[in-house]
Amino acid sequence: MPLKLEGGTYCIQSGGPAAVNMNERMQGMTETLPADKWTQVAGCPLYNNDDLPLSIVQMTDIRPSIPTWTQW
Amino acid sequence: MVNAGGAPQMLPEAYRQLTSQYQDRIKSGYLSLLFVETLDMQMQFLKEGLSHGQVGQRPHEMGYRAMYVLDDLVNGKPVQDLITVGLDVCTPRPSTATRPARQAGPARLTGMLPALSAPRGQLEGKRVEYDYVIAGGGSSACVAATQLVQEHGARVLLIERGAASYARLMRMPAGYMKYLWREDFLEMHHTAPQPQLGGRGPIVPQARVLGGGSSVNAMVYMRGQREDYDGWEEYLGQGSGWSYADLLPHFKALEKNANFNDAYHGIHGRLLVSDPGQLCDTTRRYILAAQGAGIPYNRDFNGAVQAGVGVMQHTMGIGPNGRMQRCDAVTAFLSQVMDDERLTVTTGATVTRILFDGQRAIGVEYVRNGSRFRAHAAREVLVATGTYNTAKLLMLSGLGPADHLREHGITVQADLPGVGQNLQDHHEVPVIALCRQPGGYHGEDHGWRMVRNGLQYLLFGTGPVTTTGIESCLFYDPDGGERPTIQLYCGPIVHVDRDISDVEDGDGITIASCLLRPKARGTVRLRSADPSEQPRVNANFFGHPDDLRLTLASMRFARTLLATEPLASNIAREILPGADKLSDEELAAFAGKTVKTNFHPVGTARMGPDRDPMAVLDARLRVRGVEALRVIDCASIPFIPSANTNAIALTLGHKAAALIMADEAGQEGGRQEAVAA
Repeated sequence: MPLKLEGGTYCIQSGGPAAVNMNERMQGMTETLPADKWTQVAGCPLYNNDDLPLSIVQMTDIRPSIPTWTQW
Repeated sequence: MVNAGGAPQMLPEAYRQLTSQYQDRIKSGYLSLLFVETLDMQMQFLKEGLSHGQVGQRPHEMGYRAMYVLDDLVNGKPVQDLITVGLDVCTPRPSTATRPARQAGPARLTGMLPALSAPRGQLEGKRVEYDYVIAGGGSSACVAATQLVQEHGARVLLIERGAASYARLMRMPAGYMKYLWREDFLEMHHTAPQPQLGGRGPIVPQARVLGGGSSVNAMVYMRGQREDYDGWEEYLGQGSGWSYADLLPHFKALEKNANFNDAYHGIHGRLLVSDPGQLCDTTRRYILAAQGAGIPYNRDFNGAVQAGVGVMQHTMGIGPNGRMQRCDAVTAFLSQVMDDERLTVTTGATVTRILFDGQRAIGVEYVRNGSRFRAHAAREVLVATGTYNTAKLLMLSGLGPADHLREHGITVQADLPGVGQNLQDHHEVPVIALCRQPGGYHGEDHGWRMVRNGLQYLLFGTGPVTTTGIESCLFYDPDGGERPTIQLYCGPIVHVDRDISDVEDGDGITIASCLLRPKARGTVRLRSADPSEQPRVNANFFGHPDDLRLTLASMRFARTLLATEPLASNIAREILPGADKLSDEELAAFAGKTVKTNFHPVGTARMGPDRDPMAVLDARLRVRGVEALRVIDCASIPFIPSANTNAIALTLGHKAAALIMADEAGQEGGRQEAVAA
């Protein structure tokens, strides 16, 4: 069953690049999104090293770099 | 020890260093380690035996499902407030089957770990329905459950009171010896004091682990004699479906024999059957001495003729690790469907009674972790809790001798006087001698020799660990008949019952005389209506004079064997009963003091013809007087087969599934069993 959204951009935030379970989750996400319609924005995925304040900062910082996301 | 996050395993070297200090305890299962994470490095620890279980999330599925949740949210659709993508429960038990694709929907905890969790949704008061509920998870139950799920597409709940898996050591052929008299995976019943044994009450264990006897036994694969099953057919009536010719296709369908592929054996089944990995010098001497004493060599006890001396085949074979391993009913059968959504296995759960709606069995009540549950069966309830506990469960459910049930305040569902009667069990008496030179397995399971043998097994897959130790036996009739009445095991060690002490140990040989078809009958009765109490077992060993007579005759023959070359030249002296014990009276007294079970109780809910008021089941294993209830384990056996009983227990499960499927088909027009041999 394909996702109904027609396509767009996305960013994944993860705890860390060495977290195998997180990587599997990301793989599940990216495999679900058709690659010809969905692109991950530059700078993503974001890795927060399980630092909770940093994860908030990253989400704040990434928003201005993506024009279509300014409506958050 | 349960680690909720798996953090220690994230530091592989430190974890290895830590666990290496407790390796023996970990490998024996004394110390169980469970980690809640299944990353690659952690799964490696499971493979290496440095953990017993890993419970993991499903990260890929979490990511995959997250996208659909996002999609729904964007489109304004409601989303469940709790979304489960399931868990993976990984244990060392190999699953060699091709796993079917999981159906959509949450995965289900299958009880692979002891007393881990109740089946999903099976909370108190909540109704969960299956097609079949099987009380008991032994040999017959595992085969029946597999067949019903795989061949019939049925939803099955299998309830086992013991653990989901046994100690890793017991997977090795020699490993069972370490657990033979321990209560880890056995329930120790005590027979009532036996007047004919001088007041002694031998212990009669029963398996308490998923796989039942096949998980804890000495793995002997022995079917019995053609006459055994033809005798069942004669008793049940011609066309009952229980003759040797009727059962042979079931035996063959299960079997994957490493040595025989002929009219009597199959090679396409999943039950690994083979000769032991090695034969010791004492075994070889025994086989030659028996031939010297007039017993013909028999290469295949499960072939055309049982009589003779030879090597016993065992339910073992080369496992996935390339070494000889036990092949239990879980490994061979249940593992094929363990991942099937239609099967639910719950362990650490004791069935306390069968539920009825009028005269129809509709489910069971069981206790797990102190909580009471009910499981409902849309089609049938199948009972396979072992010969002692099957009789107990039937009686607790109001099925049994009416007077006895009322005595304990149990409402009578059906007056079945045969429940708990007709108990038969093989029992054995040893003749033991010390040897001049080592030739058996004395001391091979201790100290440096144990380490050496373990290494040999692990590195090369050879040596004493590849055998159960009991490699040979002979079948004969002391009265001179062609049909054997005695099985004489050759044990290349000094071995006696648990309650016998002060026996001189050393390099020795134990020739155990096992009565194949005792004429005495024992009983199983309730102590009370409390399900947690063990039943009162009266084994009645030597309750018939012929049983003792044949045993004494075979003990004398055992002495003949000890005096025959090439055994004779290696025998130092007889230590039990002792060379000075010559008279019948002395031998009988010795037999009473030492007789022990051969672990083969059967018959307490026997099938039989309509004319027999003591028959509990009809020939299709259905309990008389009620509906939708069958007994599918060895309790159903009318007359004990002349052999170790695991082979027939497995076959009973296969046959029971065939009967069930045929009966259901019969309701739609046909009633023929189908067995692909």
